[in-house]
Amino acid sequence: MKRNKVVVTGLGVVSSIGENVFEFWRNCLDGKVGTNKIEKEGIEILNATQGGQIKNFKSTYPGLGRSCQLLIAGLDEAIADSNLNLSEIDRILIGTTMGETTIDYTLKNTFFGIENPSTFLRQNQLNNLVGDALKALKIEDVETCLFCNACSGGNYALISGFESIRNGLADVIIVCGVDSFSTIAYYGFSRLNAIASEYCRPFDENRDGMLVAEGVGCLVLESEKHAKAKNQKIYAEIIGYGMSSDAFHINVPHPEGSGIELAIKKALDYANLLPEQIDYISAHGTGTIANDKIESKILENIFGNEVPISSIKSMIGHSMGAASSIEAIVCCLSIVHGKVPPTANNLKKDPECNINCVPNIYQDKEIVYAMNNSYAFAGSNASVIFKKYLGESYGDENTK
Amino acid sequence: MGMKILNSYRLSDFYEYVDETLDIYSKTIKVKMLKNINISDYTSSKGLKKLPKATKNAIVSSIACTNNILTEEEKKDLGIFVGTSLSYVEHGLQFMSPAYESSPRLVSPLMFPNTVLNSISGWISIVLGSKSINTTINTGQNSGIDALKVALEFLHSKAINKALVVVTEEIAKSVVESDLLSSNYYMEDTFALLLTLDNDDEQNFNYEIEEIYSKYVTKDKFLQHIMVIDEDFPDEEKNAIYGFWKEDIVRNADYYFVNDINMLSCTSINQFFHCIQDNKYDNIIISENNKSGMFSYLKVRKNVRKVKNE
Repeated sequence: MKRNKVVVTGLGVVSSIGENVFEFWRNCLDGKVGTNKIEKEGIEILNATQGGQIKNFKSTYPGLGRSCQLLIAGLDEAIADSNLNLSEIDRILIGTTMGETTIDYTLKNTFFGIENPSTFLRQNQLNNLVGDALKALKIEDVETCLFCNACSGGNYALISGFESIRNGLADVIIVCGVDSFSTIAYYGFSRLNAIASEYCRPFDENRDGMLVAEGVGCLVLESEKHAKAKNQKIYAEIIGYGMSSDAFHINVPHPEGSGIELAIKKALDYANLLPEQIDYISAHGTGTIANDKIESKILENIFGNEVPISSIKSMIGHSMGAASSIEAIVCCLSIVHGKVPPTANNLKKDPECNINCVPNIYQDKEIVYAMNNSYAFAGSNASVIFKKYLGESYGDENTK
Repeated sequence: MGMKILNSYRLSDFYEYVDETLDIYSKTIKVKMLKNINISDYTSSKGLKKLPKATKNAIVSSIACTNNILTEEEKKDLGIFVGTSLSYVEHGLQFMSPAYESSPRLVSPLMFPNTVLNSISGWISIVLGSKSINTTINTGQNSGIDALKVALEFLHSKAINKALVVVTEEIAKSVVESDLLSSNYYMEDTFALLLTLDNDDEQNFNYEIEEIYSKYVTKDKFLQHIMVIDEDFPDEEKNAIYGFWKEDIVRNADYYFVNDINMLSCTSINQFFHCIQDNKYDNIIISENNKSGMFSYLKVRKNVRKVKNE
């Protein structure tokens, strides 16, 4: 069966270190830290005070939920970047952890028996997160889906889009990950003692947690044929993925990392690559003691300790459903520019994280193959492999 | 190639309802609530008793739908696809209540995972031991049909060879409130469907899902699509359409029906179950819309090969 080659032709991002791809990438390479003191209406600040809010973000759609506003901004940039006509878009697939965080406001009223505004209540219907964004951007006649896969939601949406194009179900799909800053997540992670006291320091010996954040990442995927017909610029190809479930615990990673190992190995197998061919790994790297220790162990076992690895969560915090989409964008930009972004706040190597974590400032390196790893609540794991677009025609060697 | 239904399970076929009323904003809403189930009757897995009702019902339905059909080894490769809509609002309220009563320092870390949207599919994978694809789809009223669509596409991609689709809703005051009190009558239920594309045993299923459509599109365009399908129904066969529209557009279907009980994303799946349990229609269309401009349908076909051999 003939399979389509899938390429990335457009990017859009909003994060605490940049509200567009150019600004985001420049700050990302510089190791700029965008996390800051949490400020949100109705929130009570607990012991941990820092988060990854995008404080300067202003939407031109004030009546919509914040996740929807972020999604519109990300989609808008990605569509413009890929120079798409709206009628060319076949699907828009979105991953998320908490969806629309309007319940941070409505639940309190519900609890105290106070009537909620209907505009807020309809934002709790998550189909409106998608529908309102499409309406705002005047996009019609597209297939959509909201993948609720927590922190691997963006990768799940991307994988679904990849398979759809690869199998000829669509030519143009925009895949996104989005989440706005969630009070529920902040309280929840606080009670799990998972939030960092000040900075997120993935793979550092003194790391003490993650930081709840927000953001959006959008990638335009096209069949190579469609992209070439339009003479599109191509950031990268997508050549494989692996998905797995730990089937172990709802919020504790498997102690041996068997699920994440399975996802990585499936991805390598799908792409028909050996571990030593991977040039860069965008780690999940939350900054929690447990995640980074287990992830490092698996990465070292599979890849050794030479391949450069980084976690941009050190700069923007953990943007939940947006995280794996933004990190997919990082993989594409790393390939295009030949630069490995750093892990910020990385001051002291943890002997239990025996990997080549790139600290604090970027490194130049030609990257042909980049892997994006994401792991989520409920042990939902997804790894995706990107390849430098060389323009050559290939067929069966990259099919499963 | 369509998805064959290897097994199906509807919780309300095995558990009774309790009639209740909810008073919200000076309006009285009737609700048929499923009786609470003792999950330890189904599994010895720990930590399940305090899970939200929608999650427990989904776990029970998943176990019932797969037991005696799949081996433990087959369950490891099973893809899990959950469709649900507003239950998460109630799970958020349960988690946040201590914060409103006294302090956010007292919210339960054990209840926090319930607020994450993929907790239902995550719990199913933990209990069944599935190490494969696992996702929760939330597109409002369309969640059930969309979960089936995602499952179908992953089956076609060969990432999995069997899929368990579970559609579940929990009805509570907070859920009805966020549904904007759109109905005077709500009903809970949970459904599980075990599906495959494999065609080894032509006798092992009654119906297959031939096509799934789901789009953000105008209602007019969608209804035009339905009219074309209706016109294509063979005269000599018995055909049924479940729709949400009032317009007189269906001419060739022998049976066109609507439902006035709101079961959220379970509404259309419930009608689907009625049809396949009746077992008297050759072709079935089950349609749905979610008021955000997303329209969907399932096109279902009786297993003709089985009928011929009967």
